[in-house]
Amino acid sequence: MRCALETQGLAKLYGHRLALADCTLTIPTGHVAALVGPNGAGKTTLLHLAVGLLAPTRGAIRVLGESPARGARQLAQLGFVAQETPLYEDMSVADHLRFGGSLNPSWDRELAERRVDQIGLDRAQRAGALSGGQRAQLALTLAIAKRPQLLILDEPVARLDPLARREFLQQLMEAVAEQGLSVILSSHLVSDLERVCDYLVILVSSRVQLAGEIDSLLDSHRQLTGPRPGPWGLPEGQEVIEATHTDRQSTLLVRTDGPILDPNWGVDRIGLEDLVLAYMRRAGRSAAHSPMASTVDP
Amino acid sequence: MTRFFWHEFRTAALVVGGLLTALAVVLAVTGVNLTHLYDLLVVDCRSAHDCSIAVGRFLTADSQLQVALDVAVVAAPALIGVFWGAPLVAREMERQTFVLAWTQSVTRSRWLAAKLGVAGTCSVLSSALLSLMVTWWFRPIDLVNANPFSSFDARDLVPIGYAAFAFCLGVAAGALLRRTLPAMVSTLLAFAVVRVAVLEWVRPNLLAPLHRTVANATIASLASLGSARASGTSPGPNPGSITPAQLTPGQGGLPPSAWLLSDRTINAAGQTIGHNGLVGGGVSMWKVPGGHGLTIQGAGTCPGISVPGLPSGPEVQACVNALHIRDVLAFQPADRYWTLQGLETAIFLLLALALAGLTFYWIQRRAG
Repeated sequence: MRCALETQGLAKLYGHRLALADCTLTIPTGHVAALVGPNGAGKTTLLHLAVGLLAPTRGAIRVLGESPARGARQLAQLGFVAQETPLYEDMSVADHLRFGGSLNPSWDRELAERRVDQIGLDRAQRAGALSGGQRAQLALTLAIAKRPQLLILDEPVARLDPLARREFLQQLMEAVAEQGLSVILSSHLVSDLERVCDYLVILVSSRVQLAGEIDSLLDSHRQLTGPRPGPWGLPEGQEVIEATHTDRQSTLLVRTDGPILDPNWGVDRIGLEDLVLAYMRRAGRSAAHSPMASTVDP
Repeated sequence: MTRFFWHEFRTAALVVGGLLTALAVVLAVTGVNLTHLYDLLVVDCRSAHDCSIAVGRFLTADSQLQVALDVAVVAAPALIGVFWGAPLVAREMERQTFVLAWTQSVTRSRWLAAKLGVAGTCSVLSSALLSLMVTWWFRPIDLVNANPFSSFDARDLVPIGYAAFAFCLGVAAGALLRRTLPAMVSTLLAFAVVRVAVLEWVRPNLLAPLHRTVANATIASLASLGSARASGTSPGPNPGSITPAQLTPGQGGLPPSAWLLSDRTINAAGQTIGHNGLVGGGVSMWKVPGGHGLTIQGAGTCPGISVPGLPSGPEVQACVNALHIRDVLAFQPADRYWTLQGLETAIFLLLALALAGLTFYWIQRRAG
């Protein structure tokens, strides 16, 4: 299986500051994968490593089976929308399309023009005068029209209002459906991703906390509610991700492969957002106990 | 890709092209006049043997334009470096647009090559055109002025080398500093420092200078000015205020149109006793008590010369001759002008290439 993104012990230091430490993860192709984690988890660093804007300090990274070289062919396979969607402020929308056309041999002019019409961008407008949503859409157009195999988006919706956010993700999904793209997008918000993503990677303090297809992740987690566990404890084979207790009652998030048959517990499915938050909290607790430095490869 | 960057650069190129065209019109009109004036004043007077008035009138023709043009040619490379070179990469870094540029299907080396190619070509072309026009316009004046070294920096080839260097310096500063304004300021400073350093220390030593030893006339002429002033016959200038340049034995000892690098005053034994025809920074001489003889500092006493009053010019000159005080001139002859132009241009072009190479290296390394 070809992987969209594959890293092994990946680390990046800026001087002495650790931006990403010992990161090992795999994202298969054919997914819309969400890379979720709190701010400062190393998401942007990881994505910049993936598109070759940064070179790793340690470890290995492969994108579409190749190291993210600076080669033109490798660059042509990737579409990238950076955080803050940098555009040439003084250049018009039409100039940006010409920019894309002249720097990408595989540029799909028709697609770009059609998307600009759909979004309703004025071609003569300067990029500096566009709204946040329009900027994001223009940046996405540039990334999609170069006809990449893998689209990498860094916090694409973070700065958009809810309406623009929904429109952006809708456009993204249309493009994915049309072109059969693999997508990796990072976010610290989960609610919007549920509709578009089918693969999840939770990254906290540059450690992968959880990775997998969202459906199977949701299937393998259960929320248990019951009286505070006595000496009988939990059924065998359950990994407790998080436990909250009141005087009488306990709520557990467990990862399980089989059904929970213990009648002491009420069993519920869990939503994506709760799942993500539980893993983030758990990582936060363990990070508080073991300092960040201990996660660095010697 | 190059076509795209041409398109992006067209506004700047058109503005400069327009300015150059306007200048060309002005220079064509005034230049033709100047040539006419040259024929009228200078060629005429040469047949009449006295040219000082005619030449003086001619050289002050369009004097403001002369100054403006010299300033323009000298300033143009700095402006190119500051306004075209420095922002080229720095602005992309500052505004994060390099993230967009470097994730298209083009390696960043090719991206930089295209940008450098477009703006660099414009820089070199515009400075070449400017230098060409100004050199043409100044031709009759330079013919009269006769010393090509006096306008070395503002004619012919070197402005092209300066422009290429300033441009690449700006680009490199921008790639290193990643901020436009600091890059612009440091480009200007570094360019000025390098220009002055080359002017002061490199250009005079590019070729081993020629030497020529000539008789000293400066001491006597200065002394005669001094005695004339003391006796009140003419309100001449204070000897102390006369600059050495006025007193260099240029026309006397130097080959025509040569560039004087240094002038050591030596005594009979060949020891240096002063510079620029002077002794110890001025004229240090005193009469032997009784008026029979004159002592010149560092050179000795000439007893055979009687000085009744203040030493006059001929008396001092006789003493200078008797003491065998001479000047050793180090100079570059006029026929080395083109060699020196070529060498200095080559130096700046090589510096430009080196800076461009550094920029490519930094841009690659920016990944790690």
